[in-house]
Amino acid sequence: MRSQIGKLLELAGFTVVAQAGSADGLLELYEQHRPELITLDIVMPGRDGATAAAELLARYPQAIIVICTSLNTRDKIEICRRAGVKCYLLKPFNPDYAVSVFRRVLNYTREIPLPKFDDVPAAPAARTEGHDRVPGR
Amino acid sequence: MTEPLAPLAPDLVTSFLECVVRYLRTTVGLDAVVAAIGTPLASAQTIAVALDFQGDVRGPVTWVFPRPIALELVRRLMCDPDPAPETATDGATELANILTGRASEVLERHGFRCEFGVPRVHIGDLPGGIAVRMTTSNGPIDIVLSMSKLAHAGHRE
Repeated sequence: MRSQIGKLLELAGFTVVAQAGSADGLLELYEQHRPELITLDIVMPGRDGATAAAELLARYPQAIIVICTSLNTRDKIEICRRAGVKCYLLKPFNPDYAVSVFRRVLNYTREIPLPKFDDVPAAPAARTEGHDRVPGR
Repeated sequence: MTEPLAPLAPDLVTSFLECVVRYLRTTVGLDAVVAAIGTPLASAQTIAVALDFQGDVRGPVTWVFPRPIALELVRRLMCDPDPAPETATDGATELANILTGRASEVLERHGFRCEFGVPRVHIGDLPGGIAVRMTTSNGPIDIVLSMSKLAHAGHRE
């Protein structure tokens, strides 16, 4: 999945500066590359992505993180929201839509609205075909 | 002292499977029907992927996908009409990850606090547990629920 998101970003014209198979070295990678955008899964070897995002954002609140995950449980969403994660993109996502979300969080375009984290219903509902829920801040 | 474990309640299993059916439709466009409860078989034409739950629910869920279904996910995720056959394993692990993640919403709704680990390809005999076969137009999907719950955790919806 990591390499697939990387390919997707490159096809869309982004430059992927770094990839990692776990979140354990996230802080060091961020300091080394200072990327404009970070995509993180939650379920990863070692530390989970929500914890790693919270740690990074505590130190670098300007970092832009989009969580790309299949997890839709309230506690993880809440950890991400409180930490300052920009978006929570639920897999599977439509590739074109995902790219438009990445552009939107980078303020490259305002073509799509980003619902607020608070819009996430308390009880997760079935996903509507073709429309990922993307809570944002 | 170790807290006693208990089997998953039938209504929880039913809700879990209903969720799987729903997300198979939205994820890979398949209409799946629960066809049998029994002993599934992994084969050379299938890919088995396991994920381990921890917390109030413990133990692995193992998914057995036919390769065409795994490739369909790659096709949809990457908008690639002709994905390479070797990407089937990536597709299977990602599909298992997605379905487990979505189905874990059911566990949360039943009051269980649990997490699951990174998907791993399962080689060899499938573990024991509640084995369910779902039929689809692209071949059967087998699921083995080998999880137990902490005896006093969770609640009914």
